[in-house]
Amino acid sequence: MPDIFINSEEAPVKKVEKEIKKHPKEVHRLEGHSHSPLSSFCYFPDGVQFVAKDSQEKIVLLLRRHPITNVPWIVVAILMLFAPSVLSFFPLISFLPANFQLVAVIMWYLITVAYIFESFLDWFFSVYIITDERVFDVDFVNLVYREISEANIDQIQDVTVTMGSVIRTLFDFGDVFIQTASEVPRLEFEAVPDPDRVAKILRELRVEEEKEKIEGRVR
Amino acid sequence: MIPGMALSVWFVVKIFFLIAIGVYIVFAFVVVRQVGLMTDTLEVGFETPVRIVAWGHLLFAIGILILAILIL
Repeated sequence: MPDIFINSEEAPVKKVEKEIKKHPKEVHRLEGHSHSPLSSFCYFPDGVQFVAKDSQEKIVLLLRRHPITNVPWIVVAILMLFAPSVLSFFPLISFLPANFQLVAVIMWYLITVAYIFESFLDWFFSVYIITDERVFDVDFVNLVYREISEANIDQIQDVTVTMGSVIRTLFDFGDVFIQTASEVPRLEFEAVPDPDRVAKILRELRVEEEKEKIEGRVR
Repeated sequence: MIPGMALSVWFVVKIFFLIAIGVYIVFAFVVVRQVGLMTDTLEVGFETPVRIVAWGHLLFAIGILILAILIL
């Protein structure tokens, strides 16, 4: 039976990938490409290595929660930093000798530093990675527990974007829920910047995977 | 209050302080291990500052333990 419709156009992500292969410096001009390691949205990031990545696999998107989601713990940290000065007006530990008071205050600042560092690590290392073949959700649940969920692009069944509050609309971030046919039925990208673009990139990659399947290509 | 008894009360408080700092050092060490695990999982070019902070935090905690032993 003759083909009724053949779409010869490549998916935009694939086009960009080929362009980068030809002219590696072009990657720096891409919208959403960032050199900051603290960026929460990086399109075709440079120099990112990931433990579960294959050597041939190309990272298309690296995502973190939007920086604005850090505000609550930053506010708590500021309150913790100023707490000893404020509490000096209230004689809470004045019954202790001066040397004990000094060590108690230093310990308080030590706990504050630990809280800040842990909160930062939680934000910095909890990432969502989209490669040209797979989608990863990396979670550091507590001090020593790491969870990496992954699904193949061709196993994605449905992508849902939700943006539900004034803050989220104002700063353009939201959740992307990825329904999959893999062992992990659902991947959740929480509070990621520009969720519509994330969904669009996923859609393009899915289309490309479908075409690869039809054409019998691996990549 | 008997002076010797007051001394022993503060000695017990000192022991509690030292135990608390000791537990904190264990926590700081776990943080160093955690950072190692995280940087092995994902490399984005910001590993050195994170490792320095983790080790600095551990060394600072050990310093506080030494200070507490000396001044309490």
